[in-house]
Amino acid sequence: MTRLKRFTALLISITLTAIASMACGPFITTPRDMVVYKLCDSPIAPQPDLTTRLTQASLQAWCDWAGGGITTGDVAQVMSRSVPQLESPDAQSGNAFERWLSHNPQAAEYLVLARQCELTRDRMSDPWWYPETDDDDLPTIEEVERYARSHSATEAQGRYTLLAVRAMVTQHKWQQCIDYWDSVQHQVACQAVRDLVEPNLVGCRFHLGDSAQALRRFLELGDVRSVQFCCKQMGLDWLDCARMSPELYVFQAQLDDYLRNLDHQLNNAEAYDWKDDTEFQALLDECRRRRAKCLTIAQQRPSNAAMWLYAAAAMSDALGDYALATQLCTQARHARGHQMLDERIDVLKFHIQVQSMAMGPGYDAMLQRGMRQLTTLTTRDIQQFREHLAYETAHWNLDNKESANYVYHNEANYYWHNMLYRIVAGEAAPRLVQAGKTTLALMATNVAENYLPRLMHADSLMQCYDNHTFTLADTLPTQAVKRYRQAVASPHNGFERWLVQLGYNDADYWNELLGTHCLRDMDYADAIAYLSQVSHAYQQSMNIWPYFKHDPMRHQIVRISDRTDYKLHYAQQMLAAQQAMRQSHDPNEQASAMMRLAIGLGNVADSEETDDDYGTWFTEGRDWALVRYGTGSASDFGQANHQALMRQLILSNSLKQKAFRTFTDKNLAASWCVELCQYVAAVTRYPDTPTAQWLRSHCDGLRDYKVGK
Amino acid sequence: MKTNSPHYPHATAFGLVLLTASLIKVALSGCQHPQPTFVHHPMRAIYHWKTTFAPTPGELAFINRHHVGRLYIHYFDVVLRDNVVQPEATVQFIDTPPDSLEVVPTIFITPEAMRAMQEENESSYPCDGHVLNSYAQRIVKRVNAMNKHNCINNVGEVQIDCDWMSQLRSSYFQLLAATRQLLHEQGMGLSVTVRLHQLSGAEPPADMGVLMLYNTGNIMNPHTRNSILDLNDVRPYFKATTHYRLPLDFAYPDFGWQVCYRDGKFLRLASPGDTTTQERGTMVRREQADFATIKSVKHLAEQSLSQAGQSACIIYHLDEQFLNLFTHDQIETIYSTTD
Repeated sequence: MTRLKRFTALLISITLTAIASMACGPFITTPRDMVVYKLCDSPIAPQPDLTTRLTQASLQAWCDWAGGGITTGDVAQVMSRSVPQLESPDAQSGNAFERWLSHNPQAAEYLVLARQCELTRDRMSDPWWYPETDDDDLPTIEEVERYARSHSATEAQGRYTLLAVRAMVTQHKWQQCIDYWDSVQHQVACQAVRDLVEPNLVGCRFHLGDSAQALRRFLELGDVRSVQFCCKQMGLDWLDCARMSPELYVFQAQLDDYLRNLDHQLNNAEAYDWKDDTEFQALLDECRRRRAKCLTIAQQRPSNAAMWLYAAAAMSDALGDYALATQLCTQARHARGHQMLDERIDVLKFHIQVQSMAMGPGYDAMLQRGMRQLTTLTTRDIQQFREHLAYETAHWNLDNKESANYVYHNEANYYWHNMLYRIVAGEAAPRLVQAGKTTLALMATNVAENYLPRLMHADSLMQCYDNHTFTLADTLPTQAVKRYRQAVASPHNGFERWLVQLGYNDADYWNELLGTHCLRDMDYADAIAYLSQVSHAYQQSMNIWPYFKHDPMRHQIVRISDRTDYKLHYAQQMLAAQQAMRQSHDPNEQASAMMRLAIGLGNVADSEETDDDYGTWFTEGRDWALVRYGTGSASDFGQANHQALMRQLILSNSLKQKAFRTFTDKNLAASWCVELCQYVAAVTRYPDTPTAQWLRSHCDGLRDYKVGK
Repeated sequence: MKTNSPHYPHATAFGLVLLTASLIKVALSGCQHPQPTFVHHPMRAIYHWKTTFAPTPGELAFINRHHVGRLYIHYFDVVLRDNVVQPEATVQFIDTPPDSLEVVPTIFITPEAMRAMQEENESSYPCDGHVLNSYAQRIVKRVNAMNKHNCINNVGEVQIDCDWMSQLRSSYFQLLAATRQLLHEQGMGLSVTVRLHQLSGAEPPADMGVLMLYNTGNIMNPHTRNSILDLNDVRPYFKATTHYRLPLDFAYPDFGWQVCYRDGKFLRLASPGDTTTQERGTMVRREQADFATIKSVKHLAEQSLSQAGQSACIIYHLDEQFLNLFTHDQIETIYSTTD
């Protein structure tokens, strides 16, 4: 028996653990997750990365060797294959290069060894690697070297020399590698092979102590990874290196990384758990130093000067130097290489103005300009988003609204819409709310968030209630939302008309939301007015539909058979109870109405406030779905809403007490005790009633509660 | 800040899946075979803590003269570098340890690396310790590879050294348990280093412990008398009779160094012969483990913790310049066991 009890306890604890573990998902993005500072996705300066160039040259060299009819695409396809596939090329293959390999075993043999060499090198790059840790049959790097050097330097057009060089570099045989190449290079005619060998030799010279020269050569070659490696080894800030060759793509990529991190760190400061102010100040100091370096580089007037000025402007914005940031944006617009960045510069400027400009008519005009530009860009590049969406659809179940919302809001490459979300919903809206412009705040947030989904005909995303527009509308006072709806019906100016046209203004959605607002306010008459306009189809599409389960006017759990107009029926019954309570002259009718109202309020009210390390927690009422759209969201639901629902609990309790004082019909009072499961109260307070008699005769525990006891 | 955690209907189904998985795990845990018993014979031992294994003739002579039977060789550190937990300072075997010696590969894990492993484990899904298991596998696999590659055959035990704090205890113990499991499967045992302050806490899941009776003082404090070993620093840990359930060997220091301070703050450590420490404004304290203190501490430790004849002594570490500071008899006294 004890074992059974222990097993049951174990089961319960495991079940609770499993359910508790679900509390944190899914991940919901906020405007602050969107990063403003972003350079172009493609290189601004014309020099492509060395790896790209060398790969292309190598593929072309194979084509030249293999002869006519073979494309670099054919070669690339074969190169990506596994060792067993390379070992037995198919003479009947549709790939011309594979057919050629099947007749050229020397070339095929080389490719196998080259692939094995790279696999061995990859394996050795694992920091945990140690000779003998390998449990496969790849050759060791020493064997690769021996085998490669056993071939003549002219074989396979000199490609074995490249393998030997790579194997020696992997073994850190720096001087031996240079000596070897010096001894064979005159036999290697293929320029692609010579080009592929060169970075390896420069690396050897770096390790032998000629670091400055090696770095310079890497910069000339555009060898991104090697430049990063050298900078790190030499203790150089990459921006110091950038002064030597500011047009190199590696610096654009690094600048992009730095700016993105800077933006994210400053906008999510609390998430980074800054140990103290010193650490935070160090981040800002570094930003100031880097801004100065960017400005120095821009003064050299490289072909991508605009990029360096943009970076300096972004850093100024991050530091709160808005005047300088604006000035640098203007300079960037007129600098070399600005064409590719113009739109990004405009977005940065919009972001700066939204934060720094004084509220007034000028602010609204600026907001309109910025939003119009971003929506235009979103529409212009919609194909780009469609491609990303198609890709993401393969990985996400887009039927799930939370997932879809995540994709819509987190498509990092879809910059324009993300900026609408971040700048308008995340930065402009809070300022507008603070200034009392709640209608404009709601309209702008609505467009910022819904422009792209609506363009993609994904209106239903709004109904998942994990969006900013909903949160704003759900937490603003009811009057503000009513004003918004009035303004939607008759916009005050051109800007509002434009916003109404682009926002999500589905009547069902907004009527339902406003009706719910009114339920929370206990304004049941208005609630009926709004809720009676909500279609049945819409009600059934809501995420809270499955939670319309119980009769909200009953304290005891009574399942309902029809969920349709659940909220509306609740409002109607609550209004009826309110009216009966006020209008009836019969004390028992009045008291019964009080009880109905009290139970209806108690079923939706928040209760049991708990303070712990994580803040204040509330427990939602059993029929929470009448007044909210999800459980547990203390911060998003808003303190004002919580307080309102807490007050409903207090009112509910006081109404119950008052009702019991009002009843003159004791049996009726006892039957309400039964409804409230207060059986002891029924038999002790109203012992002579038929209800008490019935309870005593049906319940062993209450049998002792005799009259007069 | 609170997370948005709406009620998800699929949570229940998922919970059931987890429940089933947990029950299977619970059921299977009862079916494990008993592990082979690891036997650790007490014998004289010494640490080798250098990145090159090439003992001098004098060091080899020391081993022979004092009948040292076990050599704890520092194989590598596990550190956090570039946000990656990885091995570093791997010992390079110029020579192969004599076959007559039992070798105990010793791995030092920095607290930063342990913390990173813990964070990685906690953020993994499912958070079932598979991250720590995989680190244990990497450590054991690398140790085996080093043994094989360097022809070191006489290995029956692996030692993990980590100055863990209470916040890391759970993860560290999980890592040790996983490592011990892997070693047991290969017929080997696991030992761990134990610092004095850890004596009052829970015993790590290992087969043996080595109580580090060195680095007992606060090196950061310029007023510390001798941070390497001071009876006054050690004594408080042995005030009451200590009940430590893990069998312990005792490690004593032979080394010395110079501790440099500037403006009352710790500056750096320097080797005993380093003459660059004599700079203006630098306060230098020369420290050396002395025989008298070792003898007193040894007496105290063995009185409090040793099971007669079961605990062995280990000297830290194999370096001729330090070993020569002790006479033959002094070394013999340090190595002598209490019966």
